[in-house]
Amino acid sequence: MTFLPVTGSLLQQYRRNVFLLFLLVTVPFIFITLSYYNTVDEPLAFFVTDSGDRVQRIESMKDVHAAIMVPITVAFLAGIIGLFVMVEAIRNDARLTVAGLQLGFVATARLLIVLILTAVITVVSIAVTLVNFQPGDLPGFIAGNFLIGTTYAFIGAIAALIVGRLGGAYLMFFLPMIDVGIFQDPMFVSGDQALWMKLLPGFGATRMVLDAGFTGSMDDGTALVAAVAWATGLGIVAVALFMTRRSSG
Amino acid sequence: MSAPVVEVFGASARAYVRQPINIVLLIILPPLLIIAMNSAISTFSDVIGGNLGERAGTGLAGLWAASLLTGAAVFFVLRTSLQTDARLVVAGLSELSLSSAHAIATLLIALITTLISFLMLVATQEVGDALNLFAAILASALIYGAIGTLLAWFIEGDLEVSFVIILIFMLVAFVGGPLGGSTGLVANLFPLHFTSEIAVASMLGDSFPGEWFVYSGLYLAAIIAAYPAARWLRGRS
Repeated sequence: MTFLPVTGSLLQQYRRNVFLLFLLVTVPFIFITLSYYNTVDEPLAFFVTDSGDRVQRIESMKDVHAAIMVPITVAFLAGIIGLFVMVEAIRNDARLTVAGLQLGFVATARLLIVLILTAVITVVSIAVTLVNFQPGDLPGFIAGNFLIGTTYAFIGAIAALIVGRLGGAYLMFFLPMIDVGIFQDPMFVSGDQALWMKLLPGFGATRMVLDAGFTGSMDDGTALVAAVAWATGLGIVAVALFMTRRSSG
Repeated sequence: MSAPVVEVFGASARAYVRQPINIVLLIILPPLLIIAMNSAISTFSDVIGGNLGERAGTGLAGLWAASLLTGAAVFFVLRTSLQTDARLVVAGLSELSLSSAHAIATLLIALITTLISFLMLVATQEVGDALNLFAAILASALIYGAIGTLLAWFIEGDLEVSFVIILIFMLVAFVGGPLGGSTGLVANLFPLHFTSEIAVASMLGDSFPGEWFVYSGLYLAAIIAAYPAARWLRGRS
């Protein structure tokens, strides 16, 4: 048995959960639409990377808010998804390994479930924002948002493994809000951020989103490297922690 | 307090502190949010059409931190104990003792989160009316605690409830509160509308209509009254 059938059967519980599917669509819709229509239509100056240079752009705050609400929403929801998929794994996967499934298969299957659900909320969130805002580079915009989603989904998974269900929930209610919602948001931080803000997990992917949203092409190499490094690094840590915990438990 | 109430309350408390990190996070997250949102809420208020200053915005951050943490804590603690509770009732524990124990736990969690937020606000800001600020934050935390209780009774999954908690929070912040300068019937119907208005006025030392306290109290009473109805409905299903 490979990990794909395992993923399929573990995914069944989410596919059958109509209320969860309803929330996966309605929460991004309400977050993003409400933010767009509540924002005043005034100019905002912020920096993006264009042809390798950091240049100032002046755009309507409504558009900036429409663009930035996508990574905020995706980070929030993906973090919670990562947390509770892993909580579920901690509760139930021992039975799967006792039943003969290889630990690596189970870990990969859980990882795939996190990535699939993250992809769903990324697609829904981008579809909602496209009604009011068209990014200059749609593939770059999608990539940036998916990377922030995977980054926070893995943070959620790691939180579940280290601090458990309640502590993880506390963290995932606050971390995305503070990182992506405040320190990476050009509406709150004018000019380029301080170094310590650039070291936060949301930095690279959010900058990719702004770059792709307000220039013709996402060409910020630093942002891409930071985003991929965070997502990959956290994914490796999450899988390693999961496998260590399972093999020792 | 009767012995069964003390016993059930003690079991909930032990379950909560079994992971010391829960206590640590409960203590450090409100100050972290208050510091992070120090000027951000004021800026954001301008973005969405409100006019909150820095001091008022920081007060709102303290209120949100206490409310969110209380709602989440009450939900997860109650959710963990639902099966055990059912067994205790079968074994002869009265519903009243059980509900009293959970109500005391909710009050304690709300007091802790409120105290932490309040002390942080007093330490970092000039607070105009400390007593009313404390009352507003505590009422908000209790309202969210009661919402957490209702969610634990009606919604099965942790994932779904977390989405709902965040959704309620976003609606409260964007539509129902002073952040965007919301007024009118729709804004008034949101759970933290009047408590948030009291917190903002208290931060600034402004006077406010006494009805705001009455409405906040009525909201809290209504949501607490929904608890027995929720238990009854769940019992039927």
